[in-house]
Amino acid sequence: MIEVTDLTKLYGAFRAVNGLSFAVQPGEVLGLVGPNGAGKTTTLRCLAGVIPATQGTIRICGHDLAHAPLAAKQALAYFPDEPRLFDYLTVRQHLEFTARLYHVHDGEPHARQLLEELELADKAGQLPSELSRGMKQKLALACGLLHHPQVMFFDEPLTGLDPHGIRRMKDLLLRRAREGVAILVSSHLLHLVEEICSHLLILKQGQKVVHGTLAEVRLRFAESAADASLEEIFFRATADTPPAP
Amino acid sequence: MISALVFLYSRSLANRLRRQFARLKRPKYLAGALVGGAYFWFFFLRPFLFSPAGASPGPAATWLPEGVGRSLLELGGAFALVLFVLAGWLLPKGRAALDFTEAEVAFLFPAPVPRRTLIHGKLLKSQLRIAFSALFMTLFSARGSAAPAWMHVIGWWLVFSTMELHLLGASFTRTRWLDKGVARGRQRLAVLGVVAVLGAVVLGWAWTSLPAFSLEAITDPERLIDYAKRAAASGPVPWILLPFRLLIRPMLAVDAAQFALAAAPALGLFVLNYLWVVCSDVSFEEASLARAQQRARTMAAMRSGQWQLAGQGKRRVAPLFALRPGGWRMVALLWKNLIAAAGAVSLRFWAVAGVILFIGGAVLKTVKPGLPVLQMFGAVFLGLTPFVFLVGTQLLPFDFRQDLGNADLLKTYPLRGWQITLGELLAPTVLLTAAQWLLIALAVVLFPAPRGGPSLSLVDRLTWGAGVGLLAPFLNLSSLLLINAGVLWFPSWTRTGPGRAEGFEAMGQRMLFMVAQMLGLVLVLLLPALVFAAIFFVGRLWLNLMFVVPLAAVGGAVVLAGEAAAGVVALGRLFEKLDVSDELLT
Repeated sequence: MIEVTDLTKLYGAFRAVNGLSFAVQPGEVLGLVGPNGAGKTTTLRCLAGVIPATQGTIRICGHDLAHAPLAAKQALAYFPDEPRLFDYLTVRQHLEFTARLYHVHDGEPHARQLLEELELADKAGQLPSELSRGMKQKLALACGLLHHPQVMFFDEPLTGLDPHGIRRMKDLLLRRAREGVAILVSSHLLHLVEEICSHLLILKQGQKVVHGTLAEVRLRFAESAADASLEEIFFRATADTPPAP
Repeated sequence: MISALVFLYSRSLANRLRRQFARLKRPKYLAGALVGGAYFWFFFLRPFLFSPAGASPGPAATWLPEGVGRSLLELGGAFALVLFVLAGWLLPKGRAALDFTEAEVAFLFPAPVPRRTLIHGKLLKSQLRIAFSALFMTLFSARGSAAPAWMHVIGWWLVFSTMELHLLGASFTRTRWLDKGVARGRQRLAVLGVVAVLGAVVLGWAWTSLPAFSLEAITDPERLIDYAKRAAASGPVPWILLPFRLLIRPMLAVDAAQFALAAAPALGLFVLNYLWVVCSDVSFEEASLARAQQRARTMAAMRSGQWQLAGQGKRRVAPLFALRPGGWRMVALLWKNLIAAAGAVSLRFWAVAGVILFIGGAVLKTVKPGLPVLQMFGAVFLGLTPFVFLVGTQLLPFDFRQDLGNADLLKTYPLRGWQITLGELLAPTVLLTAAQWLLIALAVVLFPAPRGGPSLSLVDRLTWGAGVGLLAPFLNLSSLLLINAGVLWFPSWTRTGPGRAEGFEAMGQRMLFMVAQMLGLVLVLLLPALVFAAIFFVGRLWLNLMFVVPLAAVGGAVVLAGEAAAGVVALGRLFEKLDVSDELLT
């Protein structure tokens, strides 16, 4: 579903991401973690087609993002850490706009359903400036879900959400994964990763240092501490260790 | 505690300058800095530095009769300051608020910083702006002046600083009145009452002591100046204006001794205003926070290119047409940008007004064809058509200029670069073309007969109108393509906020950009103009004007459309290659 091979991103001479390879299958939730500046957001932006990769291949649902960007983008949804909305479109107009962009023919009933589900129905005529931070997040989510993406990228999905919003977001992620969506979540919140992710990828200085299912990662670090928490694993993995093969 | 604020502002300034210098390593910024620096040198600094003192009169003095320059300048300056002060008392609506950024509010307000220190911080922060303004104004006022430049710098600094303090003090006083239950309306009435009393005193004195002022005197500058001098030199006016004249005087001193004598009372006024401000015990935190948030919203709006929305609350706008899920995806971008345009400019109002004008004009032209006002309107509409072409592209930035901040979002859409480019450019193209078609229609209906020449028949006017109308959308698209190419090539030029280019390099970049745009437009128009001319002149050998003009316009439009198509594809590729992260890192 998501296949990344030798992904490298350079900013001038600086290697933000270096030779990253991994895959996320349908129904899997991959947690992308790493210290600040590890290259998580750059990786997500490359995967979502926001910025071009310097080197490497990214395939979304079998479509090469470099050679068939439209088919790849049709299948994905990207949710940045800050909801990016158009100031002058109302909630409903955002969904209409998205429906046209992605040719969502069941756009109207699906939009209505999403608005109900995300408790935005009574805000349909409002502009983003009239919405709270959480509401904006929900609107961005509704726009991303409208075209039934098979691949979803989340950058810090819990930022700015209240406890209800956090619970709802987690439920949503798990439900979509159960429906067969491949999900990649970048987050500093290790408890979130522990709770919802089936797989883990730890980045450090743009390179993969740990990758595998949560159980595999735990097993690998169990040699030194039998009940290693994700936090301990993270600290050990991001200490000065050689990159994973 | 003030040392922390000094640290904050000095380091911020140093980092800003360092960033600007670091940016000069990139050729595009270096080129901009060179052009901007050259402009500043040749137009401001060089004439100032190499103009011998006293050799030629300053621009302010050239029109003044001998011997009256200083007193009149003092009088005019004092009146200007009176108006400025009155505006400061009458116009503002809200409570006193200091200009802090959101970050300053977040760090300073919860910190154990006394209120007086915050005021000092604000005054300190404003000093840089005031110093720069004083230096800038000196470039004009000291040119050819007998007095050394430093006197002008200090003089301007005293004026600006005292006015800044006075406005702050006024805002504190207004807030204290508000806290005591005196509403803004009553406050304004009180201020206007004082003005009315003073005005009545002056008028009463002028009525009894000065010779009658005839209307003819208004048209005679010498009599007018003489009257003003007499009115200002005797009676109550000199006393009423005294504080303002004292503030102006240091700037008008011609030597050091005169300056020292004039500076002492001006400095006294500065100190009095300072004491007034720092001794005011008024709560400004809440209003300052609101202002900081408003400014952050404004900056965010400007950063996303929506300068029209920056100063006002956004409006909900009904879309101009219903958007269905099927069809060309790029139409969604047109639809979105038209909504943005309608939020900033009342499109329906202008459309209705245009149609009413057209129908009214047509009816009047039929009933009273020789009406002079129709001729005048016809000339105005004819003149407005090219004006809309030149200026309209700048006034309707509903394209990449607005959406550059959302480039990462646009890049996730399943659209090719050229589709996104065309979608982004469609809204301003459509709006400009609609405006031009309307103006052309009005000009065709009301076109004035050329003075001394044969008037064009309605058929001729229709023919030329149709020709220009055919070319208009492609001309607009080409012009917008050039502007947006600049935006995508140099995204930081269009950005505002911490990352934007400032200083000489920004000024130079804009000048370079304008020149490049004009040159580009000339190049773009070259081939279509040749094709138009060729068809026109060859066609005139066999065909009537009625057929030749539209035919030539179609030829020109086809070439323009071809060029625009190539431009859209090229710009689309540029957008696909645009690395927003790269620009953000610089």
